[in-house]
Amino acid sequence: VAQHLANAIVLGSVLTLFSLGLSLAWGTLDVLNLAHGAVFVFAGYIAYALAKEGDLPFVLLLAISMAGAGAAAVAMELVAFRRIRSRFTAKRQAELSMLVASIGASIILNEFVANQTDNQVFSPGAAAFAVHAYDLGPVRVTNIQIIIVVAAVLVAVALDRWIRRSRHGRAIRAVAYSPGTAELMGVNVNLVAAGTIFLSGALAGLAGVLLAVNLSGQDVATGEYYMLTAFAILIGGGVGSIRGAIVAAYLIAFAETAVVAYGPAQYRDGVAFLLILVVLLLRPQGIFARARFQRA
Amino acid sequence: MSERGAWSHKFAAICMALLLAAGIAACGGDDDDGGAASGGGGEGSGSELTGTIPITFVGDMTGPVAYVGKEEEKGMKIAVEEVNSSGMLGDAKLELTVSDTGSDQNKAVQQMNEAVRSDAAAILGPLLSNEALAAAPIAQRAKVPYVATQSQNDGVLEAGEYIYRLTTSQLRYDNLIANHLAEKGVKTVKMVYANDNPTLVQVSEELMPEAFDQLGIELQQNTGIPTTTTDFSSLVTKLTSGNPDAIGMMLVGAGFPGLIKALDNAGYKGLLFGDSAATAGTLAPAGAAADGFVYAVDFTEDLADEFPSSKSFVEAYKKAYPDAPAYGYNATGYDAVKFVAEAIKASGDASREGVLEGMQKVAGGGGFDGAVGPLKLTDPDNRDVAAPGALVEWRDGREHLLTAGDPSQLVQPVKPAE
Repeated sequence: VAQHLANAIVLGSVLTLFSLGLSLAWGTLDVLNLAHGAVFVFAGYIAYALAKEGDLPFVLLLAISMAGAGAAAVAMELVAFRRIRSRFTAKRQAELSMLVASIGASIILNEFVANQTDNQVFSPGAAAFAVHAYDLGPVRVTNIQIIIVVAAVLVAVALDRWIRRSRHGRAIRAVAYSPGTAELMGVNVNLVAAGTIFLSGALAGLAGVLLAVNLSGQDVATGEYYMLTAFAILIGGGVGSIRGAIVAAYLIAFAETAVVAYGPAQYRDGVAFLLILVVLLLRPQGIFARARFQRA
Repeated sequence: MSERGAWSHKFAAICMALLLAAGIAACGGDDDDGGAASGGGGEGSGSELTGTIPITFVGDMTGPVAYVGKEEEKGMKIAVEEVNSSGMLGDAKLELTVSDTGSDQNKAVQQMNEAVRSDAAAILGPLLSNEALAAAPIAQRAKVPYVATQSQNDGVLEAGEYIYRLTTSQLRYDNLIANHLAEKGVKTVKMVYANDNPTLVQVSEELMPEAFDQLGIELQQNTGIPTTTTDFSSLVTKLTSGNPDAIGMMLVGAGFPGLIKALDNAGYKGLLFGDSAATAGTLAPAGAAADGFVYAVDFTEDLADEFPSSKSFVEAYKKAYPDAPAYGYNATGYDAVKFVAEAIKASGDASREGVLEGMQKVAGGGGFDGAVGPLKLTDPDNRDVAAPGALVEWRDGREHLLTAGDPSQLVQPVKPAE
């Protein structure tokens, strides 16, 4: 049981890391970025390519990969999201257009990685990060799993506090509430949007590299599984609620682990969809949803 | 008859002669079109084959299975070079054209329609089952000999007599794995398999359990998971509980290194085995944790020590690609072209009908020696291939041959340990 609990905590941390960036972009900028999974895989690819070419310390490799993923997200913002935001005054139309644009961006990024890797499985490998296992009482964990859990907790807490307490966080929330009013108050909306999207992409990059090491191999399809689960997390936690996303990520992780450990493992993916269904039926706004200006 | 009348008759006779000549030429033209309709660019028969004989590979050169298509193409080019330089087809030369399906069914259909309208004597078909299932009937309707590879769906062969398949189903040689486990004294096994892959479901739910039953191996757990599964931690805890002697994984792609590494991290020291999708370097990302992993394939480089035709292929491949190991995808591409060449040689006719006749002769005559070893063609109607296969172990970043399959068997039998 202890090992299953540890597995659930690691999985919850993985899902938290993946979902935070998606939640941030959706909650503050109304960008449901369907390319988030592709950005996640792209970061793993950058780490793989860097590890293959050089002998960089893992921290530097991680930082470059996160920056690369953030840059890819900013490129999407500059090429598509910003233009859509400025052209469509109708909010729903803008959201839908950005969603479609993100699908296009996802295809381009995935095709790039697929062509670079010949659609083969890739991983930064042991040269980039040597994975070691440790017995902590009845539980066996690896160093990368410990890093993932610590990173998820630190990033979640830091992001939550930053959004709620910092000047920049207030600017992001102001833009989320009313871009026009925020601009009148002296907030550089374009800069805030680009910064938020960069942060969202960098978080996907953090998850992508740590996962690439933890999984020992990923391919273009790897991001798809996490995207599906992330939707359940965002809907379950309440769209744009960072705290909600964290709680929902761990709830789904515990449920999925229980299904695999004690039930029919083939229904594991069904857990996420069951949660979506139940939440949409009973509390469509999400378990932790608040008024829009209080989000994030 | 006046002089003018005589000239009129002569003029009429000349016109008739011209019309007849034009008619004959038109018939000949039909035959040439038959290059399109009945195909074949080579001329003459038997030792008189001359000219170029076009064949088309409608293959997956981009998209999710591009890595397979590109590897097959390498093997095909080696075979074409070998056939042309050896004079196997007299003065005639094979000419390979590649058209890309993008691993997309709709595009595969478009490319197939173009290929059957071309003068290709034979078509080597796309790799994905959904593409092959759509492409094979097009070839059958156009009466173009069609060689399928990779697709394990038997529906491809149901399209008709023009359709052949040159990739051996792993159902024919996966018993080699069970035999190996018995030899190693394995008594208990747990397995996990991709439950959305029909072939792997059949291997995992029927073939392996029956073999284990005959060999006295207890299958303690057999868990189906979606191909998209990436997190194996909770599954590993379940698989390793009770410490079974061996754990099998009938998966594809990233699942292999992920699960192998997770089992290694969990401290599992038993035997690991898997399906043929573990080939072509898929295990490499798992590093040393994958050492000792056992799986069965239709081809591995070490078969060069077992079969002369495999040796000849490996030597040719190494000459062309010194730094790249040869895998089954290369061997299958090579064998597909060699099959067409053997067929043309057997019939002495490079028309589409001639190629089909030759394929039937080769298939009915006991098959031919290919890169994968002695190839037999079997049911339905001698159109599906059966190669002996091989059991291999992944160690130090490459495949090592453990056991070659018995070439006299269409399906490798279960053999209790002596």
